[in-house]
Amino acid sequence: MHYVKKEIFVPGGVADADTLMREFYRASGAEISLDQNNIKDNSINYSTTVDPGDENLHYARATTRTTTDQSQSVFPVGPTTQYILYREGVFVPTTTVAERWIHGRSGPLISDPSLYLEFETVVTTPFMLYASGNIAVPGTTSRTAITCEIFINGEPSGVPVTVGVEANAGTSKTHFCLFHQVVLPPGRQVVEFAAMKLVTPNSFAATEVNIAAIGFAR
Amino acid sequence: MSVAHKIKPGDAVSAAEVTANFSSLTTINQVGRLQIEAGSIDTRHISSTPDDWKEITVLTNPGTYPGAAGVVVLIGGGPPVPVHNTGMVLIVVKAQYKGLPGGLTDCRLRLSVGATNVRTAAIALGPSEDLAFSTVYAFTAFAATHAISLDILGTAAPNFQIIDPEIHVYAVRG
Repeated sequence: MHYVKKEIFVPGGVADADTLMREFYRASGAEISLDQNNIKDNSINYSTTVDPGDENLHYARATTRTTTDQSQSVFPVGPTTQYILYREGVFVPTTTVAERWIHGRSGPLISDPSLYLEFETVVTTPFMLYASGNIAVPGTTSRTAITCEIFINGEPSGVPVTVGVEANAGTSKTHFCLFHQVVLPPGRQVVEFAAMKLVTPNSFAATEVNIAAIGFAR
Repeated sequence: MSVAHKIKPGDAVSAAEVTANFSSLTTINQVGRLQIEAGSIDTRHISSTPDDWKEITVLTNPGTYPGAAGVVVLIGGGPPVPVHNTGMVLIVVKAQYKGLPGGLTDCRLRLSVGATNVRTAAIALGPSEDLAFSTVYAFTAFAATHAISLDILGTAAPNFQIIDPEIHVYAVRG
């Protein structure tokens, strides 16, 4: 509610204690029961929104930001990554397998555990995702194309990037960068990187891959 | 927050008490989250949200820069970029890579924030291969300014060029 003064006090008027107190109580009540009508548009800064911990989930409807399972600091000397979820050091092991998605792992061996970015959202949240890294193709005997893709909860995001190298005697290397915006529903989220070689016989590997997710929950 | 004094009929009203009552109503800046009705805050109340990426600056260095054994600074040395401390910073790097006649190149294109190398792109392509290079990097600012630079680390014959490198810096006021 808005507070609108009802009693008009004029100079020289006879003081009415009850009226005066009613006005005070009405004003006080307006402040105690703050609602959207008492808040000026654009008056709340994003940094004042509360974290949706257990004790204040009741108030999480419009003002929460994403709870995160902090994966790794995005910057070695900075503060905690308040807004950015980050996973560094993802590998796609060297493989000659073609036409099959090879998902990111924690090391250069195919037997190494999967390495992905996992977090939980409590409200439907727009996310910006990106992944970048380097592709190596040793001893290419023919033109080689590698398709890279971000997977969200096991499904390809639908925005692949294909990079390629020509035939070369040594190890060819090139860089890839994926960028994707998506709205994720509440729940557990798993973001992975995967790459797939097309039909050429050469092997490939992806190294120094990083995956990041930036949520824009309110 | 409450009305400080109850003024009853017949009271000899003290101006100080009336003033105190008014003063007690000015404590609206003491409102805590428990006093805000659930769901009452709408996005229209929020002045700045993290999807409001604002382009802070574009660092460019137009030209053609041949690779070399060692470090070649492409962008750097200028004043640090003002950002919103504790807010997100998004860096988008763009450049053209051109292979020159010769064997495989060996180019490491490095993005640094301050003295820390945060991303390295390894490019080793043949003489006929060109690349429209781009990469992104995001971090949480921890100072009012951050120096952002781009360089090449070449370890072999300089048979490549980097053309028209650009760094676009976006930020969010948290």
